Amino acid sequence: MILKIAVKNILRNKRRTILTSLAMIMGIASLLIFTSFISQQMKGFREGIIRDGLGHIQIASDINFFSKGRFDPSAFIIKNHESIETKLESNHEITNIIPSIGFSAMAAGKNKTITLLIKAYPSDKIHFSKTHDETVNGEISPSFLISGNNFTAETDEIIIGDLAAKILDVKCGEILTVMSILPGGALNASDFTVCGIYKGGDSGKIYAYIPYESRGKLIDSQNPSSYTIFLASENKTDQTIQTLKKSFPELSIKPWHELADFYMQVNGMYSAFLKVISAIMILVTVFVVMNTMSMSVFERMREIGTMRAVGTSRKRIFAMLSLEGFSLGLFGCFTGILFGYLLSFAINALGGIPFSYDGFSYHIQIFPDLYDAIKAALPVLFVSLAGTLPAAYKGSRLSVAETLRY
Amino acid sequence: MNSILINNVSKNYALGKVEVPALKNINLSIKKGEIICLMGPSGSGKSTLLNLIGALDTPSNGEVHINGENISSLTDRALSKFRNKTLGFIFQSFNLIPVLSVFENIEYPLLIQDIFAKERKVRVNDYIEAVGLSQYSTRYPDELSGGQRQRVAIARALVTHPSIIIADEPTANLDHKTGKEVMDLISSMNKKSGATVIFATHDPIVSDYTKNIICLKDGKISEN
Repeated sequence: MILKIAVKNILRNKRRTILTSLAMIMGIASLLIFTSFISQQMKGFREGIIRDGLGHIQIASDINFFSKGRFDPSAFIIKNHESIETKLESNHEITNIIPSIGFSAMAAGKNKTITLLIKAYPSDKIHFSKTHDETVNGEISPSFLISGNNFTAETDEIIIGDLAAKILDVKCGEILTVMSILPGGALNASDFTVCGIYKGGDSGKIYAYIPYESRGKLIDSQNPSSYTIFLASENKTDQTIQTLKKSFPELSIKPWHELADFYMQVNGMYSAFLKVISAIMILVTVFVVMNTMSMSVFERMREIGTMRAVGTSRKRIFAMLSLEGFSLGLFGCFTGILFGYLLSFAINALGGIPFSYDGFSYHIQIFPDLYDAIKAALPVLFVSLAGTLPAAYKGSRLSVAETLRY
Repeated sequence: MNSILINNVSKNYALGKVEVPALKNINLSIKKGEIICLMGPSGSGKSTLLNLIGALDTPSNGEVHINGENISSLTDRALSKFRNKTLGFIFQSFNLIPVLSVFENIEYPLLIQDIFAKERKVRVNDYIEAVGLSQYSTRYPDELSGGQRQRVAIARALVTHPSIIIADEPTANLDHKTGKEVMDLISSMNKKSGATVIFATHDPIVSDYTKNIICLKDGKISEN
């Protein structure tokens, strides 16, 4: 009965209930949309970083490889690579094992020479997209080509960034001479055909890619300096790392997120931003619910007095008023989530939220996650109950004779 | 046997820093089944005395004994239980719960007693019939006239079979004819149940139903 009275009292003053709920509904729906938007953005960012070369797991011979490996590849060569690869292939969570080696080299174009950081991947394991929307799963896909093609593995080919191509004044099909320094100090040079130019921005000035099969032309090693591992599911990363660490105690094995500093910084910044928005919404809910419930108790003094006169205990009055606030919160949360979902469908139906990055325009689709929805609604539900408690306590402690005078 | 025994009861209210006496050394005994009418001008202490008898307030001094129990020493929880089982209240402004129907308003005190649904239904329907509101059981208080609302309040007061009924100006908000009908109803219920009935009123109609009239003036019994 007290639940029935609580619910009926919420419906009694419809305008006030709507206004109170509206604060919660708008807050939850906005937070849900905003969280989904950021989540989609971060998902794209995360997948980009994983495909860019980190994979889900990186395996190297030594922990220092991750900071110095590109400049001194010979110091971080993985020995017994064949047995390691055989062991890795037996793990069912792993879908792709990509050996690689990176080193610095000089590239000479028509009139200029620049330093490049070259990464060598097997030609069938690296794939530059032709369009920005093209998705590649389980392969290295650092960027997309603005001209040319992927490796054909027929000739010594190189794919360079747009900025490097501009500085060196080379086009697809032209020859680029690349020189590297061997461990003994001797120079080693070889001609590579530019088969593709990728969109790279600032990083396009530095990074270049050659087929893993051509590495012997520039460096004196047939062994890789690292492995990029792709898994069937990203969620299995930590679990797989534990297994791999047991199998290869001599190797340094890292999950992608420990090597993606920028991603973690951006993620941390967005998380903090969401917490601030969430805190503001919670504060608004507390004040709105406190105000509504205080008004409700004040207006129903005589009613509370009557209930007490016919034998209702303080505890029941407290429970009834608390239930009223909680039900109000529950209604606000449920409607807020529903409204958030409806709003996301509407946004998606209109094409998504326009977003620009790196000179490209996207339309981000919003897919609210039920976990995010519950995460946004639970604090609101909790504070709607907490905001009710002072009024409920006050209402239950009123003198019966005094309330009957109202 | 005394249903109500009031021993040297005083009640003071704090008005800012000043203590205002509402009742001064009241001594009173009321026998079981009696109908008592408290009369007196506004501010004479009628409602205060009713509140003390009705366990809605506690005296500043003295003791109130109901059915042999000193209610002045009971805890709030015990007082709530006591009010629910022993007392029935009829108020001047009817004091029905607006969000509950006629049936639910009458049923409410029984729910506190945790009486089974089947028995509750029988008892509530009996009282709805007794007050002549069988056709109105699903209506809400704002869909009833003043007289009908007071009938609901009477049914709610009696449904728990209380030994004492307290009525604070039960006819004050009703016209003469309806007031008389309500008083007839309370009187007949008193005869059937044998409960003690105490009124506080200005209305001369009420005094037609009892010879036991207690007049209060300035917080004291001036005439009995």
